[in-house]
Amino acid sequence: MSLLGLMIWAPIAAGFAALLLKDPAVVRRWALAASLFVFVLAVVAALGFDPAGGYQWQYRVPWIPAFNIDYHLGVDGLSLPLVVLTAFIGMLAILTGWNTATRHIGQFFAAFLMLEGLLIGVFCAMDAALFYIFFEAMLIPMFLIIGVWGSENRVYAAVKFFLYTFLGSVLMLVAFVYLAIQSESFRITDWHAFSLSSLEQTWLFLALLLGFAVKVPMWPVHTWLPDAHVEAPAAGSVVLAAVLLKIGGYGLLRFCLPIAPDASLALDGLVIGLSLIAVVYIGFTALAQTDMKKLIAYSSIAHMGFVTLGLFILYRLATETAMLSVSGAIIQMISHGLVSAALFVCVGVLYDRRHSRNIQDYGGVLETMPIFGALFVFFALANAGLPGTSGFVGEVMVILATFQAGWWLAALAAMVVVLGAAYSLWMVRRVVFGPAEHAEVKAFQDLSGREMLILLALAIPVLAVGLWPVPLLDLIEPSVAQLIDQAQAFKAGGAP
Amino acid sequence: MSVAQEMILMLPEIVLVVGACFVLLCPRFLAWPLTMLVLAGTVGAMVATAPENPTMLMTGMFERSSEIDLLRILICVVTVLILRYARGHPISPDRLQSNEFYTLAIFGCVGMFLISGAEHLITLYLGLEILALSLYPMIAMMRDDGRAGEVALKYFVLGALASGFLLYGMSLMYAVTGTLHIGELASQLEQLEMNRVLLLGMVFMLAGLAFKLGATPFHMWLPDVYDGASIPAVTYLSAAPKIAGLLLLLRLFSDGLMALAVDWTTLMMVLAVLSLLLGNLVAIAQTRIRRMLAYSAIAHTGFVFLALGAGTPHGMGSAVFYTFVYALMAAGSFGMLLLLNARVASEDIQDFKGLNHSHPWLAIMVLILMFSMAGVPLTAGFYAKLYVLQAVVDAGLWPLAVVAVLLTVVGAYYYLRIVWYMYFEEADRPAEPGEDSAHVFLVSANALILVFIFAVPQPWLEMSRDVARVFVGGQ
Repeated sequence: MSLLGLMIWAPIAAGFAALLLKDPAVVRRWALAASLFVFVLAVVAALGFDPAGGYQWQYRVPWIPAFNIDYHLGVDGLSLPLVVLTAFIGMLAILTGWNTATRHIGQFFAAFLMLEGLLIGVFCAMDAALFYIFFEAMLIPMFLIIGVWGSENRVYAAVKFFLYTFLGSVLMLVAFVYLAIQSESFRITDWHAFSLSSLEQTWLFLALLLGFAVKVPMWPVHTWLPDAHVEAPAAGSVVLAAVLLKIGGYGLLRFCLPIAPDASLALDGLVIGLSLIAVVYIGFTALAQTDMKKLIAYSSIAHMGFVTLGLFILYRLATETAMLSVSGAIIQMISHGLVSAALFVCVGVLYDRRHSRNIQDYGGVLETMPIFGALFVFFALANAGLPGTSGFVGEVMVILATFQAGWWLAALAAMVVVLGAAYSLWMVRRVVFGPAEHAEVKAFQDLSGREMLILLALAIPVLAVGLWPVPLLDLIEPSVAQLIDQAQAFKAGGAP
Repeated sequence: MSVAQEMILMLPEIVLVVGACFVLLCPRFLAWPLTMLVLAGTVGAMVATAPENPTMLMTGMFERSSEIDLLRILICVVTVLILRYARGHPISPDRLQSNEFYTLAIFGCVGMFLISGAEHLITLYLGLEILALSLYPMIAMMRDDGRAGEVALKYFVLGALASGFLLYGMSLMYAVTGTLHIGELASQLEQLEMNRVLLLGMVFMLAGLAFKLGATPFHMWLPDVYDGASIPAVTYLSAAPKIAGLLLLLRLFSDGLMALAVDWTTLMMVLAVLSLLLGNLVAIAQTRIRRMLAYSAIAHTGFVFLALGAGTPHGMGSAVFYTFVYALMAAGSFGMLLLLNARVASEDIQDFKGLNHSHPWLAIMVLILMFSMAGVPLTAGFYAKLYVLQAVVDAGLWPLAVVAVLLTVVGAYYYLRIVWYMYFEEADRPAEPGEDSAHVFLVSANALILVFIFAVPQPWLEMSRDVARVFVGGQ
């Protein structure tokens, strides 16, 4: 079995084993050990990765010859950072959910471990059918995580999450089936080189876009996200925000742009328009929220809108600048993964103490929780794109690139920074600062060792990427260059 | 071919018929083991006498081929599963675990076997009627239950009407072509100009079969029968006869009437879309699990018609695979229902509430069955849908594929509802599954095989393709 295969199947197998374990303390340690093991493997994979070497750690065996489906795994510079992110967040999610479940503890950790394995599978799959299988199978554990361990309105949120994603993905399946029949292969790299008429591309593009837009989520198919985030347990929100949303962006990179370049060019206005709506309109929506989790959920939508903007603006740019914007979008995905996860952990920390997500129920948290307050403010600033944090790097790259496409686009895109600063800082001002008025807040205990460990573990990469993004950029740039070539290799004879 | 040789090749049917007579006459305590013996003996006889090439028997009225034998083995396996599940039913064991019940089940198999090999319209009709005449009394067997009597009558009247349709269609075919032999019919039709009598005959035949299979708009009997009959009878009705129904469709349309494919594929598409639409939408509104499964069966029938409506060998292969997987899912679902229902005959969907809290293992099995029905990966149901979609898109009918997948999303809702009742809700009345560990084991194996087929799909897909190949093009 290959390294990547081990990273996929080890947590899934560990999850099954967790179902059989009875003692809660043993289950927790077992889950943590399994996710730590996966993270170590991810680090090994990253260390052995040569940025200029294209797809690596490949493993390929024929699986279903009747459909031309292979069990084919591999990572390139686009997927490797997301794999590492998934393994990292998977580990922290287990720590976040340490005491969440009061019953069916084995099932709780089993769901998270399986989810982690399936998510890594999504990023490693080089066969579209395999990708789809992981993409959809992942709905099952997430559905259960939201529904079983969520808060009051969890059933509604879980079902909405499942049906929205399922709706997007089945149309994607039809697109995949069409491509497979035309090209007689399910290999994603074969599809990249396969030429299609512009009409075909348009339909395929729309089907794929719908599938991934639900995941990103883009306006107007974003409405499942606030519900899912609010109802999910903190650990579920962490994985949802940090990794699940990235699948949407990754799918656009891996499928939409290289497979349907003509349609991407023709319809880039649509995506850019939707992205700007997300940035501006959803940014204002976030400002109006009184529920912290909802606020961060809307902030996620706005930030992901910024990512899709960075990806699709490339057709309006020279190649050099296109590199800048696509790399910036990818860095923004990673950064958002870390920062939003940290913010959800922070809300989880507060929720554990007060059992409320309402901003009004807090105030003056700094008085009783100075360390937590400092970290919360730090992550809120990272969310707003403070220089020195990872949030800044991606945002500045995309905004700089966008300037070339038009100053007004850049001005609208820059709203993400303005609004991000507004809602993030306003939230911490109301929660962390000011006098502590509520008696419950006055009785707060500061961070436990476990909580501190999670937040510090997240703060390190946020700072590292913010201060010294070059290693990460070196890692992704060769793949981004190749992607831009593919995205501009027009298949139907349309001129750029 | 000598009579002795023909008798040897007919051995599976002979074992079944003779065995059925013995089961009817044997002492009560022997009925169950003898039934198992007969079915095992049939499978054994089938394996032992498998011909290398498809062989015509009985002056060309019956065909024996090893590919179709695979499906017939599946029919036997599903029947064994169902009869074992039925033993978990506590109500009226004197009727539902009696010699008569088992005899009828075996005769049902005889009918299905005849259908599977029929090369002649009369053989086909004979098989269909033997099957139907075994099902009517099976449903009516709970004779002190008013609803069972009502639905048995309903099923009988509509079934007889459907048979009439089918026969009338066949007679019109005979009027034009002068033959009842399916192979000759196919070659005659290729030379004939299309005319209205042929078209009429074809439509009558299709309507008759749509009645039997429960495709919209001929589905009205199906929810009532599923809801009103005893669960063992419904379980039997829901799984194995679907395979026979598929073979019937393949034999009549993909083989006999291939020359008219342009016309019947369109009709099948209409049936498919209507079934998917009605089945999936109406299932949402159901509160009783059996009615929900009935509408889900209609929707699944729609998928099979969609596959056949593609009109290609690929489509036929996908229909075989779909039916194969569906038979396993239906058997598993009803087996689970029988297990959960060992206490009372109430079958509200609400009864699934809190199952995870009391029986986490069974909850996982139900989860697998439901996600398989919905066509979510990690279960065989996914490939079943994928294969059909591939066939439909391959035939250039991608808008239909889009319609089908959109309705699949609608369908996912009611399967999800069962999952969320099990996992997210607290029980109003805790379910008390039977303590029958063999039953639990069989149901679990039944569910887990769907996961196994997902992991190792190639042999099953090849089998489906090979079965479809037997029918392609006519002989």
